[in-house]
Amino acid sequence: MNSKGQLPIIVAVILSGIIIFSALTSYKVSIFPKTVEDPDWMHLIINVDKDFKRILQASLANFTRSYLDTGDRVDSEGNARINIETWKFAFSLAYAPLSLKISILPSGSLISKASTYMLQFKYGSSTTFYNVYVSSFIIERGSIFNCSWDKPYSISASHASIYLDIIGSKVYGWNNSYTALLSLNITKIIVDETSNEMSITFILNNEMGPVNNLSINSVNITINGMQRNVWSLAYCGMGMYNVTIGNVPPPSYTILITVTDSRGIIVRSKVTV
Amino acid sequence: MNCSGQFRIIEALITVILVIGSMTIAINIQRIPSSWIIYSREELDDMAFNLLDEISVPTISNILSNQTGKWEYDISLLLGTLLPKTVYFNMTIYEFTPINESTITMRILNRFAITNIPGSFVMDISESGSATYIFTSSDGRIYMLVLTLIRVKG
Repeated sequence: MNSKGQLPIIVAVILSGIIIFSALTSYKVSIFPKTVEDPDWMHLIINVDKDFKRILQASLANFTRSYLDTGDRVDSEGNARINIETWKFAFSLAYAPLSLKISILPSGSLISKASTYMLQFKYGSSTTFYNVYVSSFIIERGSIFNCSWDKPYSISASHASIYLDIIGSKVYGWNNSYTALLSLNITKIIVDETSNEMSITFILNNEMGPVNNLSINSVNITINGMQRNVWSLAYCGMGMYNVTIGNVPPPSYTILITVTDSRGIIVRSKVTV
Repeated sequence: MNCSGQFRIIEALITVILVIGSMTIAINIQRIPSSWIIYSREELDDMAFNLLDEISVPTISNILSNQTGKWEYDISLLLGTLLPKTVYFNMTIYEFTPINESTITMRILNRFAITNIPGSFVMDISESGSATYIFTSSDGRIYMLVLTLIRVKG
């Protein structure tokens, strides 16, 4: 064979090799040994990170419901903790092949610092400003849930830390802390003495920021011990809502506002003006 | 005809055959599934987990909270739509319920199999993978979703 003619064959052989190699590489065919990290522990951590928030929120909803009914914080916490223990059991079972060691610790946390704000009350042409002191809100170490209700600024919150040792995958010491909360802050009460309408402005926040999906059925208002129908609920942005109530008597007022968010978490504020 | 000229023609033919042959092989590799391509189990595990992670909150949560009619078919239809036609699936949903502080019950929630595997399944299984996902619904119910994916040889 002519030696000059061998060059195209050599080029063709190399080209063929490149084409086949590229195809095999791009489609990850297993004839190539590849180092794949064991994904199970990553799945586990993704699952914990997403679902622990959900169980914490659901348990806080359970806690606030029970506290609203019974007024017993300790008993309500006990009931809500059963949910968290069930979740822990389910998780341990689901990932049992990984020899999972999971700890949920009531590590406690400072949820909000002390502050002050002005509450405006207007009746007809007379306006009064109240300086409201908001004390710091803490979940004590050893507790997962706490609430501070019946104040102009009220809050319901839960906080816990989670620790994971995934022995099967030799992943040790993964941990994170999670908080769920709902706070209600009454800022303005205006009474129109001619039409006997009351307008109440409040701000609703959760752990992510302003809550913008409140419905009229989620707001319950009691004035001087008598439950009132909410005529309208308007969202003003940044978590601020305006509710109107009709047929209100002349002052003075003790107003209780109970709000339930879409997750079922309850918070109750109280103002006496 | 010149002898060296004939060699040139033969060499050119070999070159063309090599290039076309390699391209044919490359195109065949891209066909999924092919009986001689072996996928790693991890890919099916990842696919199953990612699917559960994506659909648990927006869709399965809604289906499980209502549980109207044959809701298992709804989930089966959803999985059948999202997964490639060459992948068979089987899903089981468990629910954990606390009875008291020391007792937790675990029961299978689906009344019949959530699957697209034919009754007389005798195909040659190429690969199978599975994922488990714990999911808490907005009303605080705790579910364990187990999804198994099977890829058969094409």
